[in-house]
Amino acid sequence: MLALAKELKRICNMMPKSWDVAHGAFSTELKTAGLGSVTYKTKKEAMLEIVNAMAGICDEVANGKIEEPFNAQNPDLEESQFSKNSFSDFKNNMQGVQNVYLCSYAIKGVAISDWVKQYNVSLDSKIRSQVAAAISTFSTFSKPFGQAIISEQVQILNTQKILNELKGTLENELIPLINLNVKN
Amino acid sequence: MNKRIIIVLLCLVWVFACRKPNNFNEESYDERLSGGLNTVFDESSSAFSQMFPALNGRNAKVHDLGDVSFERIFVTAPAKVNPGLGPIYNNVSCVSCHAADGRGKAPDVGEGLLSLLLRLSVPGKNSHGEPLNAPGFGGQLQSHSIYGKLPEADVITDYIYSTEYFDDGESVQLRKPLYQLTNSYIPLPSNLQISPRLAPPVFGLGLLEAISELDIKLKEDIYDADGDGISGKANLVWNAVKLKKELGRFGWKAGQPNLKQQSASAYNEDMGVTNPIYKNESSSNQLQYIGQDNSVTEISDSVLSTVAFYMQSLAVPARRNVANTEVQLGKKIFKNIDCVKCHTSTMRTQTNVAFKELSNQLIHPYTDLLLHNMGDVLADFREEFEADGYEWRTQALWGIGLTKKINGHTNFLHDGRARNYVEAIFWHGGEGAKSKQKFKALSKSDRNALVAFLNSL
Repeated sequence: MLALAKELKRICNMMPKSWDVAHGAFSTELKTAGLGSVTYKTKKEAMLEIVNAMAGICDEVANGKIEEPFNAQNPDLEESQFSKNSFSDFKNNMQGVQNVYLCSYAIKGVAISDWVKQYNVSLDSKIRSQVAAAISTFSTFSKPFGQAIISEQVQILNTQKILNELKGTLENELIPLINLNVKN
Repeated sequence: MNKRIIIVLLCLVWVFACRKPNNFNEESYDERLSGGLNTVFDESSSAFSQMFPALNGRNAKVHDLGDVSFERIFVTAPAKVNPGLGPIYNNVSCVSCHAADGRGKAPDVGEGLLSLLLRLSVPGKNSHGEPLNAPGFGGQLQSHSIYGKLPEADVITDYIYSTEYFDDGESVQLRKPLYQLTNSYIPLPSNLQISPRLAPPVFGLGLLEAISELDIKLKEDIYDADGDGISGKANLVWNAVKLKKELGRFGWKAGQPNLKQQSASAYNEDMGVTNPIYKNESSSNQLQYIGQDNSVTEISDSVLSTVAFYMQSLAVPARRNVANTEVQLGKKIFKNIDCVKCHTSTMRTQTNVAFKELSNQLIHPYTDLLLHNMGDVLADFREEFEADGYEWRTQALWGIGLTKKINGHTNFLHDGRARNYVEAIFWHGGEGAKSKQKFKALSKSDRNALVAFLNSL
């Protein structure tokens, strides 16, 4: 178990490192989208990648991590069944979506939100409000996830609905806005 | 008067209704639609993981169930969730090798085999035409084991390098992998055959499965009757359910007839998970099997079927930059240097009333699904049904331009030795040798155009 834990730690550390210029330099690939990046030939590609990832995590949480154990009514299918961290993890996933949309992790920068406001102020408000709801929904549960799927089913369904609404907005409104207005 | 009008109208209807319609020019189809109606306009790192856009609610649900199964991580039995891993295995879930539904990565020097496996055999074939299992090791090397059991062997990878040149003098470095098997749990057979197999992408497979056998066999030219140096042969492989031979489509040598059997074999050999098609552990005749139990399969037929359906219903990403001048030039060059003779650009799926999304789709997979002799340089010298030791099935090129973004590398060919398109083309021998020579003779700008075209796929 000790060897396994060390290996897991090593692999987990590789991921943030891969963003550093000194290691994988993936941050450079995003920053230079359309300006020499090998992975993202255009700024549009990079923006779409980011927004797709935001929608993707909403889908994964709502329709994967929550759906599977909830559908089966089986707490054994909970991803973090030993640490009992599920709601905290899900909330942090949505916090990540907010950080990306508002460029508000560690430092504040020019954000996708600022770009959206140039074209559609009401869409920006809608996304901000839906993201905030996606974060706060996880505070409505009184029990840990493994129990909530059994005894707080209405809140579970409501949470999935909130996450899927955000996913829908990102896919059906934000992505088309990017496709329409970002030329390269 | 009214009668005359009616007669005239009826004549007009007869003339126009009975006119034979002109064939719709295939060049007029939107060439971005690589998967026909099952194309998604997604260039992100999840482009290989989208379901057919038109799946109905019920099928979308089955696709999602299959997606869950595809990502399921198996553990040692007994366990409440996903028991059945091993006792010997290569990896713990489908997605571990087929990351993001894309291509596996070849190991770097000293790296373990993460998404590449080694098929094993000794010379000869069994009564079905399958390669003979290596005694004590079976048909595949499993380099991992559950606690208390021994893995079959460790594998150390190294590469030898060589240099080739374009006609204009520009050099290309090539690398060929060398595998050293160490710490084998019993001595390796002296006549062991090894064939490395990189995990291929799993999108678009339903469309490939939906091409009729007739259309595939029509492209055969086993004896090179047209004298162009390219033959092409279908593989005839064993269907373990129907207990008869049929056309092979999947796998590097087209050794599997359908997606369900391909999945079943992978579950069993790659993860040690028994299933309704392969009920016996891959280690059944080995020491590692002691204490195991074959009485109950470790996954059900419904899980196997949903995983197969998941792969069947993965969409193909749309082509990009098709109007770009360089890409269009590259497309012409691809045809002029005869790449298209094996990497067939356009196929049509057959009618399928049960799964209408697959029915009658014009697709652009850039494969003929046939076996071709690729020369000594790529040979594994290992027969697999009708495929000899020099033959490989043409790989589909759709989606290839997104490999770097989605999988973080551009390792191509059966063992991932090619680090980019240029190296992959330089490794083309046998039937591909003439195209390679023509590629070498291209100007730098034409070579760049061909690369731009491949990147657009």
